[in-house]
Amino acid sequence: MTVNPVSVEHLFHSYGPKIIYQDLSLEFEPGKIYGLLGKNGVGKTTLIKILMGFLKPKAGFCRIFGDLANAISPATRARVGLLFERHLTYNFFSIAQVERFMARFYPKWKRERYYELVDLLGLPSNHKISWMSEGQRSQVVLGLILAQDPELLILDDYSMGLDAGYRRLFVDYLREHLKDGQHTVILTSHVIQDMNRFVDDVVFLRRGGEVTVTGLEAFSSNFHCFRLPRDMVKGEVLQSKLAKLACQSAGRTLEHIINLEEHASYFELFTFNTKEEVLRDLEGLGLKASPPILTEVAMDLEDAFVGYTGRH
Amino acid sequence: MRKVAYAALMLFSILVLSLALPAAYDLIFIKPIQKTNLFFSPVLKKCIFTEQIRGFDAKAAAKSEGHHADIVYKDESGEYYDRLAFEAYLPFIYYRNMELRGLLPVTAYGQSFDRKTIEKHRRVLELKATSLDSHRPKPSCLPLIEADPGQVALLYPDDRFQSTTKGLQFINADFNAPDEKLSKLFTLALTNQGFVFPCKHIGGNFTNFKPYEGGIFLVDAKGQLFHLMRQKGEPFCTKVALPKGVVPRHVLVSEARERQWLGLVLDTQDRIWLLRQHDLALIGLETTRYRPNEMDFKLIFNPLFVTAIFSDAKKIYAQVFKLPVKDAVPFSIAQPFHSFSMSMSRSQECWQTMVAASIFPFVTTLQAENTSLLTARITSSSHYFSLSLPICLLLAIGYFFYSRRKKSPNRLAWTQIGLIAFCGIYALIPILLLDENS
Amino acid sequence: MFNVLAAIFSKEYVKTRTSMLILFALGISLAAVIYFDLNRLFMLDHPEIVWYHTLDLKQIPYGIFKYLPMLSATVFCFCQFLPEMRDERLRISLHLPCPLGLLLLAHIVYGLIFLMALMIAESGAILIILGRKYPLAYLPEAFWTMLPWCLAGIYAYLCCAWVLLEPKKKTKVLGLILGVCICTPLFQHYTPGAFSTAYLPFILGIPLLTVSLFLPALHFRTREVE
Repeated sequence: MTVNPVSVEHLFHSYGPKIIYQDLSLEFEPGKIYGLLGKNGVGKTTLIKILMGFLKPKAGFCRIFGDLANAISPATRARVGLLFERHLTYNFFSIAQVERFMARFYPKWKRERYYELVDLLGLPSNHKISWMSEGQRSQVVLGLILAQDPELLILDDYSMGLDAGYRRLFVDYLREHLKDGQHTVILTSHVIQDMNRFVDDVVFLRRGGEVTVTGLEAFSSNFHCFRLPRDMVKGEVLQSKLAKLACQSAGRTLEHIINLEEHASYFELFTFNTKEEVLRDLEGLGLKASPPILTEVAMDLEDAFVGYTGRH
Repeated sequence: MRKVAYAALMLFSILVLSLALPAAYDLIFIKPIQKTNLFFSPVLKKCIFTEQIRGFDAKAAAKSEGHHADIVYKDESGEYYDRLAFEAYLPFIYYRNMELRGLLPVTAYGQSFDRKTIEKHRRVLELKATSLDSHRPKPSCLPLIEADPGQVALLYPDDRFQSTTKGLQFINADFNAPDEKLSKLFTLALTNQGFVFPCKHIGGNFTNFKPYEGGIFLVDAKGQLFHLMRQKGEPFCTKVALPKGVVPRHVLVSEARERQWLGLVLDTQDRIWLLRQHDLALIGLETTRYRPNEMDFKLIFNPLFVTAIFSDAKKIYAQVFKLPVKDAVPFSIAQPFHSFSMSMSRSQECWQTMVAASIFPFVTTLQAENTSLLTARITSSSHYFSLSLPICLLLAIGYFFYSRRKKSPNRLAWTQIGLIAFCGIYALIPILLLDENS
Repeated sequence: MFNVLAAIFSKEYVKTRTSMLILFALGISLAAVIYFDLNRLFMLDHPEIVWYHTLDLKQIPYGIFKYLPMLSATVFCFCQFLPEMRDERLRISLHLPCPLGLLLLAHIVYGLIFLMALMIAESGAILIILGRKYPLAYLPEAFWTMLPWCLAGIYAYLCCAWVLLEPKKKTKVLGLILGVCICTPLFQHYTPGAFSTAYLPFILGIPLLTVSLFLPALHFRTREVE
C-alpha cells in the first residue's frame, strides 16, 4: 500500500482563544501539485510550519511519508525539500560554498541542476549570497532544491519579494522539474495567477478551519460570478438586506451563494451553482426579477479566488 | 536522547543551585561571626572571653556601650563584664590602655609588672590550619634571607630556592636561571649533616620585616629535622635533636627580640613543641583535643603563662601552662594547670540558619575555614529529617497538584515529584522553568 | 557521522572565521599588553622585589586576563548562533537529513574546540611570558589560577547557547540563572593555585551541560506555541 506523502488527521490548533483549525483532515496524493490558498490570517503559514515539522499542533497528527511531521526521521527528511519564506538560506556562504555544504548530506545530489540555474545569474562562484538581491537568492535556493531532487516539496510563499521575471523563471524551472509527475508539491503564494501555470489542486482554507479541496480546472470552470445591477434592486429593505449580506465574511452567505460583494452600481454574487439557483435565493430575499438581470462575468483565477474568499 | 538530556540538565542544575543558592542566602541573610577571643585572666585566675553574638542578650546589652550590644564579655563561669572591666582583667593584653588609665604597674600572682616587663614577655605564635602543607598550595620557591647582612635591616635575597628530589636548587632573580654553584653549596651543607632528599617540609618566616633572620627548618625524607642559615653567603646547617618517635609535620618560625623561643614544631601525632632559640631544644606542651587539620592554634605568651588556644568552626579550647623556664629539660612536656572549652556563639543557631537548614536539603561548598585549597563537598542539612525533608515533601505534594492542573501526572511528572522530594528547591526551580510537561 | 561533522564544521568556519580572527587578535593583543606590563614591572623594581610581590604577596601580574575568556566565549556564541536565530535560519540545518543530536553536537563541539584552542593559546602565551621572568616552579600556580577563568568561558559559551537556542522565555531564564550560578564561584578570589584540588567537578559539568543543550534545540525544532 502506497503511503500518501502528506496526511493531516483531525488537526486542531489555536492561538489563545482564536481557533485556527478544528478537526482538519487532508490527504495529499503523490505526484500532484497543491496550492494552499486563503486570506491572511486563516492559518496557511501555520499549516505549512506544521507540515514542515517546526510547529507542534495542539491536537491531531500530521504525517510525512508516514512519519509524524515533528518527529520525522533523517531518511524521510532527505525526501523532503523545504523552501522557507523569503528564500532563507545561509547568507554567509558563497554560491559554490552553499552547494558544497548541502551536497554532503544528500547522496542523490545533482550538482548540474544547481549550476544550470545558478549560472544564469552570471555571477562568479565565490559571490556571496548576502550580496545578492531577493530574486537572485531565490534562484540559488531553487537550484539547491532541484539538486536535492526531493519527492516532496513544501514551498512557503515562494513568490515573496520576487518581481514578475524571477517569479516566471522560478515557476518555469519548477514546472520543468515536476513534469515527470514523480513529485508532490505543496505551496503557498499570494500571486494567484501563477497557480494556473502548474498547480493541479487547490486547497482553500477559511477562517475557523473550513477547508475545500478541488481541482484547479474544476474550480475555474464550476465557480461563477453573477452581476446584479443595483438599479434592479427595488426597495430599501431589499437593498439593506443585500448590503448586510455583503458585509458578512464569505462562506455560505445564502443557500447557493458563497459570497456577495457590494459595489457602487452593482452586486456581485459568487457561486458553484447555476444562475437559476442563485435567482431562487434572491427571490427568497424578496427580489422580483426575470433571469436576464443577472449577467455572468468571466473571471480569471485571481478573481475567482477573491470571489471565493472575499475581499475582507 | 531527550531523556538523557533532561537527566543531564537536572543533575547539573541541582548541583549548581546547591552551590549557588546557599551561598547567596548566606551573603544576604547570615551575619558572619568571627571566632571567640578567649584568654586566661591572671587577675581572675580563670578564662575570660569576648565574642559577637547573633540575636539579643539582655545581660550583655546591660553591660554594653549602647550600639555594641552584640558584643559579649564573659568569663568561664558565666559572669558578664563591661569592656573596661574586661580589659582590666587582661592587663598583659591591654597594658597600653592600662597605662593610659594609670593602672600600671599591675600585680598578679604576687608579682608586679610594668610596661617594659610585659612587652618583653608578650608574644603570640599562631598556627592556622590553612598554613599546613596539606591545606594550601605548595609554594613555588622560597627566599633564604641572609642572616648577617652587615646592616640593621634585612635584605631580600637576589635568589630563591626550591626543593627537588636531588637537593636545593637556587634560582637567581636577575637572570631567572639556576645558580648551580649556590645550589651545590647548600645541598652539600645539608647532606653532610645527614639530610636525605626529598624534603618533606620547609618551615620559616619568609619576610624581611622582622628584627633578625633566625634561619629555616627542613624535614627530610626520613623525618629528621635540620636548621639551615645563610651567613655571609655561606650555609650553616645543624641537625636538631628530636624525641624518640617524634616526626615533625610543620615548623613555625617567628623571630622575636627576646630570643628565647624561635617558634614551634607540630609533630605527626598532633603534639606541639616549643623551639628554644639558643640550643634548638624542643619543649613539649600537652595539648589534648587539638586536631591540627580542623583547628587554628594560638600560643599567647605573657610574663607568667603561656596559653594555648585552639578552635575549630564551632568549639574553642584553652589550656594554660606555666611559662617554661629558660633551662627547661629538652623534650620535657609541660602539663596545663587550667583548661576550659566552650561552644562559640557562631555555632548557635538563629532563625536565619534554621530557615536555611529547612529549605536547603543539602549544600555544596568549595571552601572551608580550615584549608585554602578548594574541595567540592556535599553536606546534608543539619536538620534534614526534622525540617528539610518535610519541606521537600511539601514542595513535592504542591508540585503534584500543580501538574494535575495542567494534565494528569505522567511518568515524567512522577520522576519530577520524586526529584523534588529528594532535592527540594534545587529540583523545583529547573522543573518549573523548563516546563517539560506542557 | 564524519561527513556531518566535516560539513557542519566547514559551515561554522565560514560563518565565524572573521570573529575567530578578531578574538584571536584580541587574545594576542592582551598577551602583548601583559608582556609589556611585565617588562615594565621588572624595569621599575629589582627582580627579587617583583618576585616577592608575586610569589609571597600573591599579586597577579596577568590579572587583566581574568574576564577575557568569558567575554570571548560570549561574543563567539553570539557570532555563531545569532545568525541562526535571525529569521530562524537554524531550520535550514535542522531539516538536514541527520540526527538532531549529532547536528547539535557538531555545532557545539565546533565552538568548544575553537574556544579551548583560543584559551590554550592565550594562557599558553601568558605562561611563556611569565616563564621568561619568573621561576618555572611558579608556572603551575599561574596555570591553576587561570584555569577557573577559562572554565568560566566554556560555561558562558554553553549557557549563552542555551539562551539563544531556547524559544521559551522562562526556559531562557534558566540558562541565564545557571550561567550566573556556575560562573560566579569561578571568578571569586582564591589563593593562587587553590583550584588544583577542585577542577574535576567543574570539568565534569561541561559534558553534562553540553548534552543538556539537546533540549533547547528540540524545543526550537518542535514548538508548541509561537
